[in-house]
Amino acid sequence: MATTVEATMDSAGRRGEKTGEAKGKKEGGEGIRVEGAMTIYRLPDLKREVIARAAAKKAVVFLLDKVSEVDTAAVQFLLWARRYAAAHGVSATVESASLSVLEAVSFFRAEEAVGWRGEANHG
Amino acid sequence: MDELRAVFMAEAEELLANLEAGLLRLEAGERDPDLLNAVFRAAHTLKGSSGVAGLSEIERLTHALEYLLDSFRTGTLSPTSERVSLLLRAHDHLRALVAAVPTEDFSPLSQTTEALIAELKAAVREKQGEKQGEKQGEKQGEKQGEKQGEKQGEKQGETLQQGRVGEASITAARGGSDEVVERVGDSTPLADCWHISVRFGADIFQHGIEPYSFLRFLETIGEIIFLETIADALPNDETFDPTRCYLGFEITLRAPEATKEQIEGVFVFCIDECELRIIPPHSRVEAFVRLIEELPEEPMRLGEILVRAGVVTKNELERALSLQQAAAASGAPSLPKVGELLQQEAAAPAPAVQAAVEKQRRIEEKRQQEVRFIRVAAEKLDQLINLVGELVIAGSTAETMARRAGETTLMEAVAGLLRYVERIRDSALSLRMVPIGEVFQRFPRVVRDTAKELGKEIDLVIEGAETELDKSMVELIADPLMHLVRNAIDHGIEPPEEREAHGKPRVGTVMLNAYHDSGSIVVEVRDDGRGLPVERIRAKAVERGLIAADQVISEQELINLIFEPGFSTAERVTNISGRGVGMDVVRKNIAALRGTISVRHRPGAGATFQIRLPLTLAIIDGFLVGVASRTFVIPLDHVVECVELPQEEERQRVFNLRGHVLPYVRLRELFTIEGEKAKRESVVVVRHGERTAGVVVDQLLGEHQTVIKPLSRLFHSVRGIGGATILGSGEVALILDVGGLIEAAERVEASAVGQGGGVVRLSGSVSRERG
Repeated sequence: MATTVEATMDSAGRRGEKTGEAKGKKEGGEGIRVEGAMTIYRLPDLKREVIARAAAKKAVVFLLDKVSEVDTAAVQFLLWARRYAAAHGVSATVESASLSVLEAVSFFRAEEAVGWRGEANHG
Repeated sequence: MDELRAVFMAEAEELLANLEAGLLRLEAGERDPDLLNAVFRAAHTLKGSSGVAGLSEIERLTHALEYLLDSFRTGTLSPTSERVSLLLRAHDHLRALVAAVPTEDFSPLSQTTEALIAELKAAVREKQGEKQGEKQGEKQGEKQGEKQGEKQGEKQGETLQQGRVGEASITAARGGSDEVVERVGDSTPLADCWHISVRFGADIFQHGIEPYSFLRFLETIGEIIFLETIADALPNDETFDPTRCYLGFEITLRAPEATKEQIEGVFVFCIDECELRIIPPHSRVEAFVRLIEELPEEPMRLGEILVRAGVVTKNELERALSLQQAAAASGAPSLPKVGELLQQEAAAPAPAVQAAVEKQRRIEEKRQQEVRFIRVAAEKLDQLINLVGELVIAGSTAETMARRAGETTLMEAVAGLLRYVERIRDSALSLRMVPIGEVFQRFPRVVRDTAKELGKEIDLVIEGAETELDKSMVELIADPLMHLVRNAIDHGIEPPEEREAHGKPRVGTVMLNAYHDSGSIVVEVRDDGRGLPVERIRAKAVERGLIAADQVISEQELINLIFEPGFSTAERVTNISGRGVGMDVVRKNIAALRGTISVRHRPGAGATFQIRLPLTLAIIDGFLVGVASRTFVIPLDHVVECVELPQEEERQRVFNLRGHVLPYVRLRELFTIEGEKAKRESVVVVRHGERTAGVVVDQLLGEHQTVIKPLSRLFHSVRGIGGATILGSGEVALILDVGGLIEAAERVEASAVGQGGGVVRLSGSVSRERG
């Protein structure tokens, strides 16, 4: 993938893959920031991240305003993340989303189901 | 290179050709959804294949290319000239990448690959931004209008999130979904809408199928009134596999003009990997009940979704369900499901039944097609044809022996055997035949690029693309054709202004045509340009010493000089042509295929280059003739008739064939064959294209299946001989090249006339020297 830069940080700084990237910080929390294409290839890593966060009882916050491309698998992943988080007693939300993300999520009429609460960001 | 990659390369070539052809049609302004589908499918398949072959470089570029193509499909972007040009550049680079597969060294290409991926993505993103802006504006407007609150009423998110509505009873669902029903406007269902229910197979993501693309494509057919993502199968624990699909969709589509086939067509790439149910507009409510029965989700939940979708009302659904329950309560021996009742009811349309039947039919058709085509390595076919060749020779030997033995029963048995040998021969040869369209399909791009480069406007017309010829010839004919087409564009077609000044349409036409003609395949490159510059050709020929300044020479002969080495009349050297190399190479390449090339022109109206090739390079029906103790084979397709040579015609080297003057050539003289002259000589009248001539021989020996054995390179320049063959007796016979013989006969005739009947010495072969 051309844009695989990803900074997925938790408060302890674990699993940070590209520390050169801006860490996802929004509303006082660190989020799972995805940049470039958010497609099927990256989801296994993201799944591990969600599981780790839920295990640590941390809210799962996605920062997707730098996502250039999104596919059905990614939307499905967001649906799962929310359900998984709920099952573990934490929340999962999408705090920011690029137009690509928003377009796909709204096409699937899944804004609420993925926990979308931000505004579109022209990233 | 492993087998997988070899298969990939073969596939990629075909897919890239389809992609290119489709892109060119898009650029020309065609907007047929089938075309968009075809182009998308080519890219999509290429992406899938490259992924399977582990060629990530190709996969990534194709993915980016596919993404832009998908924007065309969904109508987000239109295929403008710039975008198609970008796609064509990406296509060209893909070709380069595919060519690099055997070496696996993509590094010199990487920079361009990345640049193209970035460009393709930028092309999509740029417009996405615009579109989203518009969309948001619209959305805001809607929100403020009468539909305010609609979004809250949808509650799809809630359904997805909770996913447990199925536990509720009908009454409960009814009580809880009033606001949902309101959202469709009134209590009347959206009867004029299609309802589409789709459940995707778990593996589709891994197979490169992207539901988002398919579903968005529906928007090109109609308006999606309602869409609900069904995520009931999605786990909420760690068993979730992000590479598997757990989703389904219920969609209401308003598309009054659409047909069921059109809607099915959207899902054509994944029809075997999804459960698709389409309920046409104005269907009975029972159709929906049946849908509920068939789908895996909880009936009540589905009922609720359908009500929300607006395609049925709660009351209708309730009535239908209670009818079914009543039927159950009445103690019917086996409980008929509503769907089955529908099937029995002849008057009722049974779209779901039709859909199932159609799906079965499609699957069956696909299976049959799979059986119809088998990919076989070319070497295996070559081996088969070689063996068939040996079989033909062995058959001839058997026939000769049987004849010598003089046993009638043996001769009959051998004759029966030979009939089958002949049929096996024809079948084997037909395996190698491919449509010339394989070559022709490269030309739209060549014409486009060349015309653009030269600032000309040109239409390419292709005819006879289905004409078949030997696979090996298809590969070898491509270069000469390319040269002829470029020449036609560069030298033939005038610039648009010049054409207008001559009262011609601005847009010139180049035509590629292929057809079969008496054992040959004819390929023509025709243009409606200015024709050939006869005077310039003459001047050039004089300058190069090919003819004397005062030499009397027919226009046709003059024109034929363009095939001489180093002959070019171009006033300027362009990238396209005019370097003075080419036409002689074209002729040489064609001659190597035992073919000929000729040119006709009409000043100011255009030129036609005609290539004539033998149908096959391997085995032909031959006609055996004898001169002294030698035997020769004339390809039977060229033989028109045989007559006795009238004695009195001797001096002129022509004879009168029922009022027509026919030049002839005597094989005995042509090949300086020693031996006593026959008392009675025969003329075999042969035809090549529009030219006829006589070949004088001693004996006519009859038909013979001939396996063509190529002559060694040493004899390539010998004209008049096309190959050799082995006869049943084991003797080697030369196969005559009819085109060359006719030329020789015409030359002999011209010399005879010019020199008062003097005999021209042709030593050993038909030389190129003019009399």
